[in-house]
Amino acid sequence: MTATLTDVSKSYGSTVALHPTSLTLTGGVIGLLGPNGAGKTTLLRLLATAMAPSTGSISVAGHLVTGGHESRTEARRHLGYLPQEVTYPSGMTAFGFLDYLAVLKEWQQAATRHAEVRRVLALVDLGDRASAKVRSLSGGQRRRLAIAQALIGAPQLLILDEPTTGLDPEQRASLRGILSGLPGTVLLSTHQTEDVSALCDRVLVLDAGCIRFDGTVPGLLASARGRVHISTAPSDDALHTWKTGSGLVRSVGGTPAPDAVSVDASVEDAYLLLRHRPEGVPS
Amino acid sequence: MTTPAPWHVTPPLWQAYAGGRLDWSAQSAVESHVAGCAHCQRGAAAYADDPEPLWQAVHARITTPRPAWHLRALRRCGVAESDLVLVSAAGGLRIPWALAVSGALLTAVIVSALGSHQLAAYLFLAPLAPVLAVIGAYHATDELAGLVRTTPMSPLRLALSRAVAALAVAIPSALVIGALIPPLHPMLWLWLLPGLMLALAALVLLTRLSTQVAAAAVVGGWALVVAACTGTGTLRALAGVPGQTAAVAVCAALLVLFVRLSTTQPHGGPR
Repeated sequence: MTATLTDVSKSYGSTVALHPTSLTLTGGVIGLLGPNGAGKTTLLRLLATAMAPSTGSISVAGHLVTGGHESRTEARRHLGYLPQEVTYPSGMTAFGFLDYLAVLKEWQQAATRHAEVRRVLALVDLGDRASAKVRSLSGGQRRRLAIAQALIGAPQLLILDEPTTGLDPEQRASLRGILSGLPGTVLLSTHQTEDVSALCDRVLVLDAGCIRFDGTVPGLLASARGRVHISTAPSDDALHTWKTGSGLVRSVGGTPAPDAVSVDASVEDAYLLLRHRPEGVPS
Repeated sequence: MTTPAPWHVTPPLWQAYAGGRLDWSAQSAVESHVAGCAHCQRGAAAYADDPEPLWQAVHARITTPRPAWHLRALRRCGVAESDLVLVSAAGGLRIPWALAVSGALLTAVIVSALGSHQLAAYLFLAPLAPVLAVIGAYHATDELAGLVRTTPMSPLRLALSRAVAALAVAIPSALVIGALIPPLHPMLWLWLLPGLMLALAALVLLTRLSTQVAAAAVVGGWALVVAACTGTGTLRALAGVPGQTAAVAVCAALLVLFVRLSTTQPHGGPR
């Protein structure tokens, strides 16, 4: 399954949320990192057909999202989308919410639709909460319910905007298991860099509406090699320093202190370094 | 007093249950009985070499919430089950229904209180009750609008399902309220076609405009029409056969326009 963006940009009035961007997404789990306001949600909403780009074209599974109504509808048949926030209508049960979304996704036949609803409920470990009102669910359960609606019909392109927000470590691990087992393409935006290192075949780093990095996790880590140190004193001009549990200081970037020892960089270190690299410097 | 003879789930009953051929009350009876009857639990195991599919069917029945009575009644009347899901999911329909009933009540009170200009006031206010219902039903989708927009569901089908559900309550309510107030009897049916016409006009405008702008355009436009007819002394014609015939023609044109606009809706536009 391929999704392609060609010279896609998005502006809100005079504010450019996404500069002209070309991307091809082909299979696997792709992580999208970036600070708040970087344009991650805009990019995901464009791909999810929730809004039209200002320029450029988008295609999903060969169907032009930016084309006519018919091709856009066809593209939507291959999509699952989890927005950053889902507001649930009052009085709905977990089952009713998913049943409604399944109808919207053209599951017309009641028996097969209900079986699909039960499947995704079980997938996110909410099988025993089917009849519960959504308002009675905890924050984590509501988030899992929102994830479940995106999984209806096993879409070929799954677009998840911060899926792990509100999930505890066990639930996050469970979600990783679900996502890693999906056959199509998963694009997930997250602030949890450990999710990226644990899950993603490919990482995109978006900053100020521009793609700053597009590569593998090892590639991202390699960009930070030799730039993270442990010492008794912080590195000069370090981007970030903090005292670790052992009493030593970990420094990201900067000129290492004389007694500094280079340590393996994490995805978070690499991301922080990347964000502060001047534009135009190759990753 | 006699104790009723114990009953157990028979193989044909099991088959009907697992096959989904029992009505809701029979299904519930089977479920509650089997939950407390060891004999039937053993019977289920004997019924099939592998009882798992049967238990899955039992579990499926239990975890599938039963539709509300009015939805079951509509299903018996032939309404498609998926349409019922669309309509019942819009819990916000209570708001447009309340709006429509309140609008009809307000109309009745205002018109009854007027000594003169009753017809003008009635012709202006009463057709707006279904408009309130339709606009309210459209607005009710907002909570999930971001998600709904990314699904392949036809915006035409969605809008029409909700509009019909809203009108199904709004129109009879307005008629009943009108029938209860004697001064309104001579005018009881006059608003119906203009009301449908304005509701369709609202649907057309909602495909391109925000809720507030569409509502203002319909109310303002209709106020101008009624004012112009009052000023030119043609109010009786608006209420009479010429006006009603024109309303039918406009309804047909608006319906065609609505279908066309709904299927060519701009990407990311209002739904």
